[in-house]
Amino acid sequence: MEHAAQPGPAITIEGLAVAFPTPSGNLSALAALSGTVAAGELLAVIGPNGCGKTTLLRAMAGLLAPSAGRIGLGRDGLPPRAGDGRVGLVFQQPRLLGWRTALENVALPLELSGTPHTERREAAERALAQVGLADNSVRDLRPRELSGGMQQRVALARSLVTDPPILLLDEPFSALDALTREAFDTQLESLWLAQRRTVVLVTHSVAEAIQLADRIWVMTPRPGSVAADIRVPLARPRPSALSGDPGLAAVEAQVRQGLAAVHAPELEGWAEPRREAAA
Amino acid sequence: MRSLGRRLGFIVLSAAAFVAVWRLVVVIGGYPEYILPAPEVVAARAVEAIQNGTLQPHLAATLEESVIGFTVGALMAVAIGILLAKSLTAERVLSPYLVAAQAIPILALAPLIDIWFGGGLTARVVICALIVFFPIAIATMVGIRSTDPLLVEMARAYGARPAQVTRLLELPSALPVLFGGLRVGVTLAVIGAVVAEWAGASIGLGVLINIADQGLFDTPLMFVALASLAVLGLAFYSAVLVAERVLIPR
Amino acid sequence: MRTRALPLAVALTMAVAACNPTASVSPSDSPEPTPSASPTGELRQVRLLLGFRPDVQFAPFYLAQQDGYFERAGLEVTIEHASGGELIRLVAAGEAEFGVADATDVMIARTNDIPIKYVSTLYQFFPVALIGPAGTVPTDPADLAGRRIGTPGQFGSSWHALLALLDAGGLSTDDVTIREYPQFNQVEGLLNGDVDLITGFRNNEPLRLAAEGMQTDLLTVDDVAPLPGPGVIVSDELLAADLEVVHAFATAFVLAQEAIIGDPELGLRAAVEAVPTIAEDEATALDVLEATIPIWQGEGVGVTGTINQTIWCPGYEILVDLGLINGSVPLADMIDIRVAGTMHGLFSCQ
Repeated sequence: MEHAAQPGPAITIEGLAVAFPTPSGNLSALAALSGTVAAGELLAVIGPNGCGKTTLLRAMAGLLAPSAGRIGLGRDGLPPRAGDGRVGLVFQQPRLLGWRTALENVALPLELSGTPHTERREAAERALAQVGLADNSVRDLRPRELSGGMQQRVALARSLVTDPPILLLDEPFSALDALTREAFDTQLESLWLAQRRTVVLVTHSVAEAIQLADRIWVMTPRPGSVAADIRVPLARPRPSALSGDPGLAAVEAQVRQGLAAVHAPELEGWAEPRREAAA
Repeated sequence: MRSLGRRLGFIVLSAAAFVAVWRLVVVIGGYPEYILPAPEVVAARAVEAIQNGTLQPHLAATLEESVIGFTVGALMAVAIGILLAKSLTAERVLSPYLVAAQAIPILALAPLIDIWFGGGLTARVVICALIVFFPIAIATMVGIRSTDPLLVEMARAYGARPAQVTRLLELPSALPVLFGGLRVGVTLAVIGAVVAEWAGASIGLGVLINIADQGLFDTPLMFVALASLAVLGLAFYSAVLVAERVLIPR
Repeated sequence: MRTRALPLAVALTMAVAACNPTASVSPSDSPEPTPSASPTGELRQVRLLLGFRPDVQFAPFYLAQQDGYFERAGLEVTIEHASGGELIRLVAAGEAEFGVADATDVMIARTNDIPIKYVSTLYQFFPVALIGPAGTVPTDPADLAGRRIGTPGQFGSSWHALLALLDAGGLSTDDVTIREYPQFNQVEGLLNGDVDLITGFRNNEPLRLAAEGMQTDLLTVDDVAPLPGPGVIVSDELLAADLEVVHAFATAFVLAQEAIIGDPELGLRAAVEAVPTIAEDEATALDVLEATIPIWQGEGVGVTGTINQTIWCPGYEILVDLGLINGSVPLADMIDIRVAGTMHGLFSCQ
């Protein structure tokens, strides 16, 4: 289903602040964060752990309320509400119910909203097909019978089952091995190209961000806000990160510069680089 | 099928070994029949007791008390276990009483309970339910508390309301631990029925033990009663295992 | 050897007395107990098992232990307590040399091949009776029909007394409502009206009920269904191996019992010494002891310890009629009259 046809921004964030009460006072995770995500855009949010990217995603999913500012979704600009079907969420771990089959797991969001049994089964089968798991043999397996990669694909299918216009992905492939991750990134890109949902992808991999995103937000350290908003003007399919393509290298430099500017202390080198002896 | 046959074979073999050891103990220890009867004596007495209808009424009575007692106790325990798991206040308020009640031997309270409930099946079901209650309640509480919070967050992200979280997430996730509690509880149900009978009953395997031991000085018959209790316990335990296999997909 | 003469002397004395049917053999006719200890003068250590709970009614044993009766008989007696079923089995297995058990339990146990014998009588009369509020207790067992009766359970002397009384009245357990009190608290059932009658010890429950304000009447088995009362038991093995020590024990305890019959205070003092909690209510304890003495004595004076065939013979038949024993083991195998003698000369159940 084509989603990019929706006019207007898919996500609007104004002055978002999120703080958590702790025994030693309020912990400010996000502060004065503003930005918009256009419909059908793939936005990558990058920064080291602790900078609030996951908090931002959860706020977008309606899992926590802002302490200040607001988030609006879609044309109506209504705040996000968990479970209304406008947002699909994929976590770093698959978070599948171990006692249910893959199909039953995928159907869960529809079950929670009261969709009748036959209807949700069919929707779940369609969702599994989108992630390449139309094969009957996976459908009735339990999570522990599936590899890590397959489990994450099932989780992705679950996020798609309500056909949400917005997909939020929190480091979805970082728990998988690098080879699988590369393959999945490619598949995710294809899926997104076919459906043009609005996607927000949280990552701490520069390569992943550059390969997938239309735009990259570099986050400041806690309390997080957007330090740099970098457009990625490269054509798709993107060249591989190792190809030495100058356009890609330029974007990478920009991103790394953005990161270094705000995260320099943590990302500093540990030792002087070894100088290779000249041949 | 082959593994089922193998498992049955194993059970038969281990039962035969048990009987052989028992016989050996009797022979080597030189125990007279009124102290430790040999297995064949007990078996013969069992056949006799069944043929003249002595055993069946007592067995039926204890079966009835323990099944009803277990059901009542387990339902109460799961309900309270869920309450304790979800409400920290409830746990703080109720735990001390539950633990203290568990520490008091029910055998001491049983006669009082018997009088309060006017003797009869009700009193015995109450005593049995009380004995069964604690392990199942705690297992339920622990099982529900140990629900993976990441799963709960996921369910909430997809709009799960609290009742849905309990029904679709917490209870299924708690089933393995809960069934651990049920396994313990169901064997306690047999003990509970016997304790209840010792507080005031005129029929049941516990009563038969007393009659055989102190009234008839018929030690083989007492062992028949004990063996019947063991069989009852095994049957109940197996039933729980079957239920576990059905309800908890492997 | 010197010690061989003793059983011979005893046997001869018995035989002489038996030739005279009207003579009662009283313990005073038997030779003085001589120590059956070894020549070095060491006391033989033996265990005595008393029922269930220490009580003032065991005073003869406490006195025998404290005032040297056992010692003079060459015995060092350790007193312990055990419940009915366990007690008989422990004595049979040789874990204890002596025990005090219900005669009816002895008959049942013996029929089930448990190798014990009853050798000396503690209670000549059966101590259990049906007890109820004064004026409500029938004198004819047939009038028990329809009553609600409380009893500990389907075993022991209380159960046997109840069955015997019902049978004597032509009734069965179906003709009455029986409520079981396995914790032996049937007194409460009588007090709160859950039952009309209870089985209880005629020297105990009536006093407890009187203390709670209830006057009582009794229906005893003595006249309608005589049953033998509790006494000393030993294993077959001990009787075969060492009849002298059994006789020494029995004689010592009988002397102590007679001393208490003559002076109940002696018994009270001994009981308090052995069981200090009795001192909490000495008046009641003395009342119980004084109520116990007539039941110990039975028909008359000077027959302490002897075995009474006018009660045993019908008692055996009653148990057969009730189906509690099947008669496969004769009465003669259940008792040994050589130890304490018989009350009425030659022991015969004709």
